[in-house]
Amino acid sequence: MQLARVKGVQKYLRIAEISLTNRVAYLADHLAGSLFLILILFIFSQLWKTVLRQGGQVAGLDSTGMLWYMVFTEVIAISTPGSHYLVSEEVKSGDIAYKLSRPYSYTLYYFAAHCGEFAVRFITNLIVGAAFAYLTIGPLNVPWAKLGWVVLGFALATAVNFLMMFSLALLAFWLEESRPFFWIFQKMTFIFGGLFIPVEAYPQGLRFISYLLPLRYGLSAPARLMVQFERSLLWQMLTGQLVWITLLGILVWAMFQKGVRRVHVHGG
Amino acid sequence: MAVIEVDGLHKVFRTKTKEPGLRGSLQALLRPTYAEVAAVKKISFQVETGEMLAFIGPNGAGKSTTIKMLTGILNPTSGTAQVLGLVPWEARRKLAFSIGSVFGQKSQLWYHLPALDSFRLLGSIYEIEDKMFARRLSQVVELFELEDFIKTPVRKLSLGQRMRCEIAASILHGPQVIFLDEPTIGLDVVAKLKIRELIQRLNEEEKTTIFLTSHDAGDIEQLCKRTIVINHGEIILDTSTSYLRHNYLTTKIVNVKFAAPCPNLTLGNAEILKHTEKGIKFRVNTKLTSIEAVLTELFAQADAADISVEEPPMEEVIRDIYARPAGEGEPSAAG
Repeated sequence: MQLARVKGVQKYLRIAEISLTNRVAYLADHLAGSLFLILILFIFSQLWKTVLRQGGQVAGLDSTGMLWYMVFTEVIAISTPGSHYLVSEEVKSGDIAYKLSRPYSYTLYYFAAHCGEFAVRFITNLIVGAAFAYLTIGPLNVPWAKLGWVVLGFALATAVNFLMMFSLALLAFWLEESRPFFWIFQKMTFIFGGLFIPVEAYPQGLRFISYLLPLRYGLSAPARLMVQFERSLLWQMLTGQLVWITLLGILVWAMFQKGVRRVHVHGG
Repeated sequence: MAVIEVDGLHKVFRTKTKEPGLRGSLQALLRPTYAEVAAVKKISFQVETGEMLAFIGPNGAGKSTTIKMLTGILNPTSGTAQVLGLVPWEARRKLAFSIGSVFGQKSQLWYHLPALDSFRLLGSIYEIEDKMFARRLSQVVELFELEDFIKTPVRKLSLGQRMRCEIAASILHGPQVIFLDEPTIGLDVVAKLKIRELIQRLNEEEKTTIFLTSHDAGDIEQLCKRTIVINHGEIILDTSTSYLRHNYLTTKIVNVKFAAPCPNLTLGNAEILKHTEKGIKFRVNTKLTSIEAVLTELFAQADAADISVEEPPMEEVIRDIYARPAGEGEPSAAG
């Protein structure tokens, strides 16, 4: 019984591993893509240096803190794989059926593959982004003693981001085209996820909306914690992440169960 | 003993319909209409342990839909089926451990990685114990002669090599039944022969039951003792392949390229389909005359640089089946 459970988990670890290995084949492409990250960070480093040159702060962060904050939010954003496009296409074309004939959970298969790919992209982008920030604005005061908690926050953020996008991808069961939703989701992430500015710096109304949504738990919260560790922020983040993982997990499960009955594969 | 039992299996798809033009689009948006299409119509058959069954028919006949129901991917609208004693759509995951499937145009291999990586992944997915996997892998590598390219990224393999890896990947967990959906599609003659040989060995050496769908009459003739022909979702013939061969696969299409231009060539015992200075294409009814006799007649008039012989298209075979009265000289289906 226990062996079966171990084997059950092992298959998803192997899926993550092969996805990671597969991604390493594209390492050169990734590094080329990191040039975009440098460009964005360069623009914002100039902006924050100018805006906050006389000791000004945004949500308690000075220009160094703001740039490092953006390194982490941007790295998460650009490292998140486009598995949702793949899932959406598979659902639309009916190719999902072929995956259903294998002894694994379709959702966990994609989550494992997502994690493997994210790991490669995140590490390469982080190296590039951190090197740029270090050279242009100086070192980050890393909370070494609490780093384990921060890493946990990043891991849970990956799950939150995956579930949000996977649920959007599953809309393809009912809609002809789900890409507009991805576009809206991306733009909402920029604002309510706090891609450029911590959501704590927003006006009250905007901040309230942001607090109601899961977006900041996948982006702003872990980045903020890395740059300015606070115990209260940590607990708030972990609670929010676990609540949203549960809610989104239930949503994905329900959507998948309902949607898979609609699988309508033609051919033959 | 039957490993596959199908009784009155019926599948209806519900598809959205739309009138042409902008008005039609708006109407479809406000008041969508649906049409029901019966892809498989109350089919019944059995497949015995170790049998190699050909399940053939033209495009849209219902072959893949049947396979999808038998592998648990699709629920039928009505009817029942059991594969290895399990109802596929109720015990899909449990059944997946005992069956394998290859869909000719869908790959299960990771494109940028060597096939070996995909094999290892499948070993984990099918929860095969490490030692057993190593043993099984070496058996499969030997059976399918993969040694030379197992570590080559899949994207660099030829289509034939890739298909060998695809089939190998689907038998790593030692399935008792394997569903092969168009395994030779797109392959050249040499690769086709190799795949057929390997399927034959798989059946003989591992006693795997083979359920094969193909457009290629050559696959069927060479591999299967029994053939079921399906058209418009209905089984129109369930018979021995030798009966099919002698009664329906009686025409061959022959293409000949001339070594030197030959504008006027006559063939008494063949129907000429196309004739140019450079070559000729003709149909031979092997029940009336042999290909050899026709070629002898041709060689008396021209030298050939290249010759190829094709099976008749599946549509032609189906037409021929319909053209004959039901049961005319037909033996009962081989079990």
